[in-house]
Formats: sequence, structure tokens, C-alpha cells
Amino acid sequence: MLLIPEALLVFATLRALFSDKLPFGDRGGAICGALVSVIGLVLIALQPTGEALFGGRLVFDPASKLIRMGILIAAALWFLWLVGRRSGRNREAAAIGALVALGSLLMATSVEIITLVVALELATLPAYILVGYRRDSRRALEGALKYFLLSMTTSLVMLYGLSLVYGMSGTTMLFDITGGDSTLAMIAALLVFTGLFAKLSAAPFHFWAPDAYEGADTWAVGFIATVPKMAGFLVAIRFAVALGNGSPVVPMLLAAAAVSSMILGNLAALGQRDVRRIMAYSGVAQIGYALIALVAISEATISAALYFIVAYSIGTLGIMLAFSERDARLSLMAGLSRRAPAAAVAAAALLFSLIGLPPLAGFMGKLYLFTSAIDAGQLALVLVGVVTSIVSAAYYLRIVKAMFVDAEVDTEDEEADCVEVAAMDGSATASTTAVIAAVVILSAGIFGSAIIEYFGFVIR
Amino acid sequence: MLLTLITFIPLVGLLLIGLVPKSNTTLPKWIAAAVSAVDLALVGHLIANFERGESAMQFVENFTWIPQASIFYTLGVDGISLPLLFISALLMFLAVLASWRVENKPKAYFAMLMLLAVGLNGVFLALDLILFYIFWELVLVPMYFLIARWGGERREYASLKFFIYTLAGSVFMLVGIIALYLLKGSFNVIELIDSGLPANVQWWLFGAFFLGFAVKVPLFPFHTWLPDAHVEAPTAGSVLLAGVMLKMGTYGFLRIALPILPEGFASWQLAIVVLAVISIIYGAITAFAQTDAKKLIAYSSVSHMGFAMLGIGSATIAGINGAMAVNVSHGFVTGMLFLVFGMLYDRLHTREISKISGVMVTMPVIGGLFAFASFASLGLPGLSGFVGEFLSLMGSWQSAAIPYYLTVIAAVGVLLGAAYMLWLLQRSILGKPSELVEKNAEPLRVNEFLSVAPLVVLIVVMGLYWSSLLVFTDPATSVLVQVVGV
Repeated sequence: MLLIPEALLVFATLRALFSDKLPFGDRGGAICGALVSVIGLVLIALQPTGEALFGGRLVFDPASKLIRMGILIAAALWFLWLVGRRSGRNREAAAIGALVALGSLLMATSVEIITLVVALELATLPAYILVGYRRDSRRALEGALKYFLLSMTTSLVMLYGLSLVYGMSGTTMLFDITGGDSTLAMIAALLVFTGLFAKLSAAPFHFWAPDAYEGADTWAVGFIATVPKMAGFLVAIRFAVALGNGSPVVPMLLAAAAVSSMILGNLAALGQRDVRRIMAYSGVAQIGYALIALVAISEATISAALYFIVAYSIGTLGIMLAFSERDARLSLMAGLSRRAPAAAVAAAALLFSLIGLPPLAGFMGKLYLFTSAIDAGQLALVLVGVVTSIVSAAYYLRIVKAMFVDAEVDTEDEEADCVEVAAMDGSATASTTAVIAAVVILSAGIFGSAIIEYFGFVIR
Repeated sequence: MLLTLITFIPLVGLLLIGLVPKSNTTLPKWIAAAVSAVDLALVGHLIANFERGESAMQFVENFTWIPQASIFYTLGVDGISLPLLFISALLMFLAVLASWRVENKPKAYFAMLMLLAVGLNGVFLALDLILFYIFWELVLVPMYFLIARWGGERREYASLKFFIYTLAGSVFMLVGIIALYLLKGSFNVIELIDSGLPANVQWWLFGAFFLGFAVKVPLFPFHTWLPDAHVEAPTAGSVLLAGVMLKMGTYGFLRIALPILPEGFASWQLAIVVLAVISIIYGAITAFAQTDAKKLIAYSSVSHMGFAMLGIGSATIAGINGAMAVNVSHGFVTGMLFLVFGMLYDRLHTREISKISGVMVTMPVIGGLFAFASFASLGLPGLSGFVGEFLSLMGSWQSAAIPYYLTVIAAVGVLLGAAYMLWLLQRSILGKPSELVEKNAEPLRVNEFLSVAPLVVLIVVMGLYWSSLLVFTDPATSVLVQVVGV
């Protein structure tokens, strides 16, 4: 019963692959994916928490419930966008998207190292096809190659760390792993977290993300940068709990990553001219805020960080999908408010959420996060977060300004650009998707208390 | 429910405007005018039913919002917030009238004004710190768009600077709010009064709130966003910025920083007073040097708000009443200055003082209104500007904590204020009409007349009958002074 959403996604993958032989043709896979995601979302909402499967290898606790629901909301939005995608060849995208979502769902529940690694690869390997989805574009292929190589390398580093963990504690079950302060444990923690940080694009292992994202289409980046990240963050929490127990190194590693992510991410984003690069660095920065919670682990910080990461992911996905209309350079975003007013307003609301303006979910997330972190004695980290969020307003507002204030550029004098612009994907459902995302973010902010209650989170 | 209605009726206006088809460019302004008129009428109803001798919160509404984090939806009004709520509702209505001829995307423009109204009304009514913060930040978004889309030439720079500066101040305030909550377990402004925290903790917390409020007031050296934002904003934006938004800062001191952290205030008092005096003098001197009329008015705001901060810094009944009077009067007077100058700008399309002269000859009514507002601004006795400056200086003189020479220096500011305003009048309103003024002369329009007439009346009434304001503020300020007890 617990795995029905996963089973449905497997079905959606197969359905998408055989789309041309089935009703609705090329779009069939996306339609099926959207339906399956919504059904899965309802099923997960109805599931009880506290159960486990396969001898405790998969657990269904409140944290995994929230993350799984977040993944399926994001997936549903993305499939909905895909239904309206104009340039054809949608069936592979639908199949790959379903696989990524499936891997992410499994990642969120698995607490056994081998299961976890398999789930992780399932979530990240298909993603590189999405990065290089435009086969005729050099930059897309370059991005895909970068993504693939980095993904492999970090997986290997992490696997090596995990093998040390196994050698140390003689078990692959996460809850039985003992951290400790031996040299071996420190090396293992270092390797595991290096891999995780790279996957989450946390500094100082974030450098691959902007380059890889820039080559890909906005809609593809939006998906692969958010869906696996929610699950990956939960995995990072689980490792921080398991390996951080009694270890002096793990909190230091996490604090260093948090501070460098917040500072590097926010400062680097300031100079970017491409929305995908801005959002890549914004992702680095936002992961930095979330990592504050892992430095001082308590029920409250973890609850806050989970809420925060889901709010970030859905918001970012909505923004990326709203911008999927054209090439993602800021200069081409000009006048979006005229061409697609609903999408522009929704994207603006989501950007304000990322800045942390109330009453949007991004604000509530930051409020809970900072409150619980100060309560846990991490005032210094919170101050770094607060100051860097001011910086973040500058680049998020540049996107808002481009949409609402700048006049539309004349693309004719840049003929090379023209070709590229024409090749870009639009979607008839882009506005709808962005508006739904904005409504989700707004209501998640206003009705935050209901969400907290529902998942039994602790807020301090 | 009255306070909730006052706060959220503009939101209804926003939704209605959203439903208007794009082709219809006249309906949005009628909706905005009707909604802000209703809002103003409700505030009038509130004033009529307000118990004047009472110092406690009235019309309190309290609902649980996020029980897990003890965040409540709490609204209430007292003698300190009521006058500010009134100028907020009044200036919003007048700003809508003054924007009657906005033709660039009227739908979005009036929608932004409505959103701004929600934030401004809410700030003055919220009694829960998180709710307060929400309204406080909500103001940023529509104002950002008003400046960025309908502003002058350097609007992109000005809007970004405005946003970043005020956000920078307010996030520190947020840290202060969180810390207060963790220490005292409540977000309720009333419950937190005289929090009794250790003095060194209060010092830090006051510092955090100080940053948030001082940027908004703005107090020297946090004022640099203001001239840019005021100058580049469209007329309605300037009116609301100067008339209402700056008061959010002084209100924050009076509602939150002083009563909750009296000991923190005691150790910051001298710094606040010194910065207030610097603002008064610096604002006035800088105003002399301006060639741009809007910039001159903007710097005069820095100087005037300095008087409000001086009154607050004195922590005496006279001083705080004076600060309230400066708040209200500055709302009327600077609102009117921007409105009248907006009329000139619509005709002449320049802000350069050197290009404008002899307005009195070709447009006597507008020139007369401008002269009237200038006299009110420079503190002519009998008009509203005088009340606040007089009371603030008196309070500052009475306060034991403020050295006499600081009060004397501040008083020089009144003189400087008279000088730059008269000089502005002499250059632009009097004299021989310049070619530009001659060619573009146009009489006052009805909507323009309506947008300033109430202000003329209020400026005179308040100038002659100080008690019309003080009868509201006095009970609340007396209690506040007792709590602060310096």
C-alpha cells in the first residue's frame, strides 16, 4: 500500500515510452504523469506515518511524508507544464521525469545505504538526459557531459565514504551507524558529506551547477534542480544525525558549507545575466540557509528546514517554468509582463518568496529556520543568513525588473540569437503552472500552522 | 471587525480591479477611489467612536493564527496609532484622486495603490510582532513597483536602492523580534511592554529594532535612499512615501522599541537625540543645495522627521506629543507639497527649480497653494507645522537627559527650514514667469482641487486647535512616558 505512488510512477514511465501507440499521442505520457502524481499525492496524504518496509530499509516517517508530498507536487506541476509543451518529442521527457521522481521518492524513504545509493542513482542518472535534451545544441551536450561526469565522480567519492562507514560499524542500516570521533569516522564523514554537498550544490562543491544548468533548457533545469534536491536534503539530514552523533567534525563541516554557500552563492548570483545561472547560484545560497539547521540538530530545526526546502523547491520550479517561454537570458525576459501577465505576476510572487517576504512560504520557512537556529545557539550563522538575504534581494529583483520594467528588446539585430530564441520551448500551460505554484506558496505561508500540525512538526 | 475591515477593504478593491478587463482604463480608478473613500469613512467612524480619555488599546480583535508558534492575529488602536491610521487612509484617498490622469497601465497602477493601502493600514493596527512585520514588508512590494514602473528617469536605481535599504533594516528587526520571542515567549506588543530583560540584552535588541526603524524614518546616516526614492517616485508614490511610510519608523519606536525595551532606550537615548539633531541640521543644509524641487522637499523631510525623533528621544509627554504632531503635520504638509508640485510637474515636465519661475503670475491658484504649503512646512504659527516643532523642542528642553546646547542647535533648524522654503518660493513661485511656465500654464483641475482641499482645511484646523490632535494622543503618551520612565 505504501509504495503505490512509486508503482504508479513506474507505470507512468512505461506508458510514456509507448506513447505514440496509445491515445493522446506524444502528450499522453505527460498527461498520465500529471494524473499519477496527483493520485500519488492524495495517497501519500492518506498514509499513516511511522511504518516501515523491507525490514526497516524503507521508513515512512513524517519527514519523508512531507518530502514525498513536496516531490509529487513539483512533479505534478512539471508534468502539467509538459502537457502544453509546444516543440514536440515529449514522451521521452515524460518517461525520464517519472523516473527521476520515482528515484527521489525512494531516496526520501530509504534508510539503508545500498538501497539509498540505488535510489540516488535512479534520481540523478536520468536527469543528465534532461540536461542534454536538445540534441542539436552544443551547449546542452556540454552541460549534460559536465553533469554526468560530476554526478559520477561525486557518487564515487560518496560510495568510498560509505564503504568506510560500513567497515567501521559493520552495518548498512543508517540508524545503527555510529559516528564517533575516530580518524576513520572523520574521513568517512568528510567523504560522504563532500559527495552530498556536491549533489545538493552546496559550496564549495557547487561550481558545476551554473555551467551545467546554463546549457540546459529552463524547464529541464527547473525539474532536476528541485525534485531530487528535496530528497537529497532529507538524506543529508539523516546522515548528519547518524554521523554527527559524537563527532566533532560533522558540525564543523556543515557550518563551513552553510557559511560558504550563503556567501558565495549570493555574491556570485549578483553578477549573472542568465536566469538559469542566477537560479543555480540562488540554489547554492538557499541550501546554505537550510544547512544552518543541520549544524544544530533539534526537532525544531529539522522541521523548519524541511518546510523551508520544500517551499524553496516548489517556488524555484514555478519560476523556471514561468520563464520557459524563451531563452533564459535576462535581456530576453524583458516585457514578459506584457506577453504573459499571469505568469509574470506568479513568478514575481515566487521570487518575493525566495527573498523572504511575508506572508509567503519562503518567509515562514526562514522565520522558523532562523528562530529554531537561534534557539539552538547558532546566532552567528543566522546573522550571516540574514545579511546575505539582503544581498539576495538585489538579484531576485533584477529578474522582477526585467519582467515588469524593461522594454522588450529588438532581437532582430542579433541574428544569431534569433535562431536560438526560435528554437526555445514554450508551453501553453506555463502560465497555469506558475500560477498554481504561486497559490501553493502563498497558502503554504498563510496556513503554515495547518501544515505544521498535519505533519506533527515542532516549531519553536 | 471594524479594524479588519479597514485593513482589508483595499484588498477587495485589488481583487475587483483585477477583474476589470484590460481594455477598460477608467473603471480601475473609480474602484480605487470608491474603496479608499469607504476606507476613509470607516476610519472616520472609528474616530467618532474612539474613547478619548482611554489609554489602553481599543477595538481589539484577537484570533489565533499559528498556535504552535504562538503567533496571533491581533489588531487594536490607541491614541498613538489612530492619527497615523487617519493620515494613511486620507492620503491614500487623495493620492488616488491625484493619480486621476495616470494613463500608463492604470489597472496595475491602482492595484498597487490598493495593495499599499493594506500594508500601511495594517502596520498601524497590528499588535502582534509577526503580523506587524508582515504588513511592514508588504509595503515594500507595491512601492517598489510604483517607483520602478511609473517613476522618473533613474527609477531603476532608485527602486532597487529603496528596496535593499529598507529590507536591510527590517531583517535586523526580524532578528530582534525572534530574539524577543525566544526570551519572553510572546509576540504580543502589549504583553511585552516593559519586558524586564537584563539591560545588556535590551541594549542589543534595541539596536536591532533601531536599525529597522531608523532606516524608515529616516535618521541620518540611514537616509540616503530617501532623496532618490522620493524624487523618482510618481506623485502618488512620493505623497505616500513621505506622508505615511516615514511614519512607520517613528511609530515603530513609539509602539515597540520604547515601551518594550525601556532600559535599552535609556542607553541609546543620547545617540538617538544626537542623530536626530544631525538629521535636522544636515537635512536643512542639504536642502539649500538642491536644484531639483522634489529633492529639496525630500531633504526637508529628513529635517522634519529629525524633529519627530528629537521629540521621541526626549521621552517626555510634550516631546512625544510633539513627535506625534510632527508625524501628522508632516503627513498633511509634505503630502500637499508633493501634490502641488505634482500638478506643476504634470504641466511643465521639469523638476529643475531654475527653469520654473513666476508660477504665481500664470497659475495663481497653484502658486498660492504651493506658498500655503511652504508656510505650513516652515512652521508658521497658526498652521500645523508649528505645533510639532514647538512641542518637540519643548520636550527636548525639559528632558534631563538632553544637554541644552543640543536643543539650541535643533532650534536653529527651524530657522534654516524657513530660509530654504522661502528661497524656494522666491525662485520658483514669484518673479517673472519663465518661458516654460508661460507656455504651459493651465488652471487647476477639479480632481486636483479635491486632492488638496481637505489638506488645506486640516492644516489650518490643526494649527489653530492643537487639542484636536492632542486629545487623542495625550492619554497614550502619558502611559508611554511612565513606562519608559527616564
